Amino acid sequence: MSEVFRIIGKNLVQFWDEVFSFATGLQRIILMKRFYFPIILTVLIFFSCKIDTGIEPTQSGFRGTVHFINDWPEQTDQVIVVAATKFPPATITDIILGDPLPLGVDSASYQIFNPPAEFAAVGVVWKEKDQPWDVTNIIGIYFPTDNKFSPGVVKIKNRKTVVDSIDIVADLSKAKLKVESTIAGKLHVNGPWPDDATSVLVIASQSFPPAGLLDVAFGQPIPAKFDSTQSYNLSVQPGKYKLIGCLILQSNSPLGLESLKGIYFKRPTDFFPGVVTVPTDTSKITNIDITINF
Amino acid sequence: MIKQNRILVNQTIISLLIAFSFFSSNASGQPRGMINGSVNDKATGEALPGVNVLIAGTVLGTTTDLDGKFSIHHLPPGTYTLKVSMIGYEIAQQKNVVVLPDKTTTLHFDLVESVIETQEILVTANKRRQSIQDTPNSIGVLTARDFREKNQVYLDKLLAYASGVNFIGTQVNIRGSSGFSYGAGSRVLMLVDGVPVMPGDSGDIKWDLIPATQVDHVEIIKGAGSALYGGSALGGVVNIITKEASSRPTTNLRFSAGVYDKPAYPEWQWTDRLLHYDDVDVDHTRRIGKSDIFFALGRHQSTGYRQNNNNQSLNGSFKIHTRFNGQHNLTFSTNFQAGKWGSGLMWRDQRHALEVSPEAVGDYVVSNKVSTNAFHHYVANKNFSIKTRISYFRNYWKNYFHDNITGSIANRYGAEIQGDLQVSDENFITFGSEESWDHVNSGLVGIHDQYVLSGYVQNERKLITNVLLTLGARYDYQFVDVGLNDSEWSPKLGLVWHAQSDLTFRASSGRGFRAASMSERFSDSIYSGLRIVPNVNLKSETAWSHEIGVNYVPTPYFYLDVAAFVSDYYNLIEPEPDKTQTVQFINVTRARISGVETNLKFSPWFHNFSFDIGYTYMNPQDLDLNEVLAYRSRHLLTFSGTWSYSFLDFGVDYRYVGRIEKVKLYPMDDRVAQKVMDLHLALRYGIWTFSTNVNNLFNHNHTQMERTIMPIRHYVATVSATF
Repeated sequence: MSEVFRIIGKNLVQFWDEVFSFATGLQRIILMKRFYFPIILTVLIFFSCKIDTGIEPTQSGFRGTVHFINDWPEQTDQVIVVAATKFPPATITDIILGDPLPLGVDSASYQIFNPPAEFAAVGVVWKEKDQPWDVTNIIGIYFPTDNKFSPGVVKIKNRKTVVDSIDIVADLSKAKLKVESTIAGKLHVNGPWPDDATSVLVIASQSFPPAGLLDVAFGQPIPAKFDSTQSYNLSVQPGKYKLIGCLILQSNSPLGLESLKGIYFKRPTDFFPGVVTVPTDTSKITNIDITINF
Repeated sequence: MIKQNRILVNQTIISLLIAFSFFSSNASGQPRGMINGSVNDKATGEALPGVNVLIAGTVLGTTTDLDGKFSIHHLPPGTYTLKVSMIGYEIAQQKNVVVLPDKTTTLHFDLVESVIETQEILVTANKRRQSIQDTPNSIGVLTARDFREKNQVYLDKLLAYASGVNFIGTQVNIRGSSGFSYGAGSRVLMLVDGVPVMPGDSGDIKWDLIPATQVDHVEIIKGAGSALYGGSALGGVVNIITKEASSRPTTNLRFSAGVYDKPAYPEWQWTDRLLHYDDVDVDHTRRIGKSDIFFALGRHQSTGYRQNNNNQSLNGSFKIHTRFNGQHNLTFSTNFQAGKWGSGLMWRDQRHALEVSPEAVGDYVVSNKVSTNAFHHYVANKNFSIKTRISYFRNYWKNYFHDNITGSIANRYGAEIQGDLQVSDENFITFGSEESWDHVNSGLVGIHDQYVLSGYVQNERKLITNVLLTLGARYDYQFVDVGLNDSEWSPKLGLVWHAQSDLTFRASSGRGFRAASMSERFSDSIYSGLRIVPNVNLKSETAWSHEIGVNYVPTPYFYLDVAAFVSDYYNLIEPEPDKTQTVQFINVTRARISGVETNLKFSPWFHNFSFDIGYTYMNPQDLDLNEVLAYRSRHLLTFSGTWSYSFLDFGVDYRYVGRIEKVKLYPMDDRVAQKVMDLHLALRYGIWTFSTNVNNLFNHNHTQMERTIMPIRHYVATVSATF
């Protein structure tokens, strides 16, 4: 035991010696004038800098209520509010997603926090169980007016703005289940492309004329200005389609019915668009060719 | 096909072994001598372990044991020059050392501590030990002192302080090479003791395999390094050198505990619990019979600073080093890691930046990894040696996500044979062959095999007394079980001119490549709502890197290194999302990253102070789109200042990474430059070291990839002992 105390005592003496020599050294350094320079410089730099804390919580955003109509599909996995800076969005970089909304309810309030931005459209997207997100599976869009072809623009002006009353009616009957059925054909172009044409969207609607954007099934964007002919393949739910056509997206023009530049006709002399029936969810309807006239 | 490929790999390895055996058959015959010696710290008189001892103009060398002693056996009689070096000390050299037949020559060296680390000895740049001034590439080294000061367990946290290096999540960028690809593939190759350790499925770097406490030092080779290292060394190489086994029984203990401060804003406070972490590490080394053994265990756990950031893991290492005689050395080592990690890819929204989406709360990943290597070094004679390695790496993980449960097992088997031939004092040749076989069974990519066969040769030649030319090339042939094959030539040219004893100019040019990882090529899954689709026709991405540099060390207290670089990338593999949230990896980009890198170290005012400043300017250009490359910053700045007095060290570290101008997924989110300042204080007393750190002192909130706030301010206290 005495050996232990002796070792502890020896270490304590050694420790004290170290502390003493450190204090002596520190005193010597502090007394040296040239030591002042780096100290003063460091203090000046330190206090001259505004402390930057980086990213801050977002106070701005938009909010509203989603009103659900029709029955909830059994295959529902999630439903979320989506906002897109471009409509239709070209990539997911054009989109922001909200939190999942509660399922099986008649209505749900929501709020999306986001830095200042202008959104060309706000909508509600439905997700099927065991399937990835598909932001074209839209069941509701924010329309501030009766024009169901013109989504309302939501603008968050500054970091304190919360835009209110962005209410949306979500029609659960518009939810599109994963299907294998398609309509395919060729797009033919007549005349020169507009300079600001960016892409072509093939659409199909079971009503003619369609009552709004929610009545329309959209295909993937096809880059514009292709040579005279281009193939397309549109995924559709089973049903009877009374309008199949092409929308031309132009950078300087908003999307609307006037964007419809090509319609499918069974015969060139027909007055009404050709009707196409997709009988089952595995049907592949081909040779639905469309001529785009500029 | 698979069987044929496997036979081809085996036949290649056997043929090379026979060829090398023939080459080295003139091993002995005449009487030999030996050199014994010891190395001490000049100031304290303490024995120095781990010192590199090289015989100049030969392939011979060793390191000192824990008693500071070394011996080099089976030396042909003659006159030699010994170079002795260690990180943190000035190089010592002794000329005209005479070795006589059947005699032992005894030497002693006293090394002088250098205040700033300038003359590091390297292992990796040319696959052999070499002074930093003799390598044509820019090299960064992180030493035990850095590990001690930063007080971090995981190596990625430490590497972020190296000049020219920054991280996007866990993806390391050397001079902006990697960008960010959601954990698939890496344009930087990670080696552990010279052996590639990257899983065949994801092809990314697993930083948690080896904690910093089990590492001796880390070397970072900047620029394309495929001429010696093959695939993935597109932007550079990180070689982790683990601690050596030694003869003197020694134990290291370390206990560290930290707490996270409250978030900077009340909106971000997601729990009332005290968020904390702790690490316990122990290692021991001793001699048993003819073998030196080292083993280590570590347990690390954290609540995380944000939701789903919790983790628990266990690490272990074992290494045994046996010297059969002066000619044969055998090292066997293994490292393992097992753990459970919370998984929170992205924040809920910027108002709840430390929370994940409600449905993702509780998502986690279970993983374990084992890396095993056997290394044999045979010194045939003073001019020729053979290094043989076989390695195995297994990576297992399983995701337990709310919308997805997927697992993967990736096995990698590797073999390498390397010959070092000192043709003359002015001429050194390194040559060898490397083979690997990856077998993956994964819920993400399916069951696949991939094989790589390669051969390399490099010649380092003194053109005139002070000009060193390096010429090398490597050929890699890769085949994948779906019938794909690819081959790549990777040449390299380097020039080093020692204009004066304190002034060195260097230039290098080399090609690098990276074959698509299996996850980039074959992934077919849904991950957090994103659909990932395969692209089996992905081509390898390639790069040409060019660099010129100057290194100026006029005194032991001043070090300046300046380099200008340009890297041209072809067929960069990038994930490309579309509006349906479908992601596919495709060869998209022709890119160029050019820039300037400077590193200044100096020690003014009585040499108690040392400063280390690194600044890198980059211009990362996507030449196809004529815009900036995604996930790259233009400015990287690191600053370290340390004041040492007797038993006390106090230091400050600052890291600035310029704002990332372009991201792929959420460009509308706020992005800011990273400005992180850390403080550290350490007190050494006898066998004990007490240290404390404040990390992210100003609680700067920033993201590296989208929607993930990096660690907020936290305080760490550590006690460690060596006995």
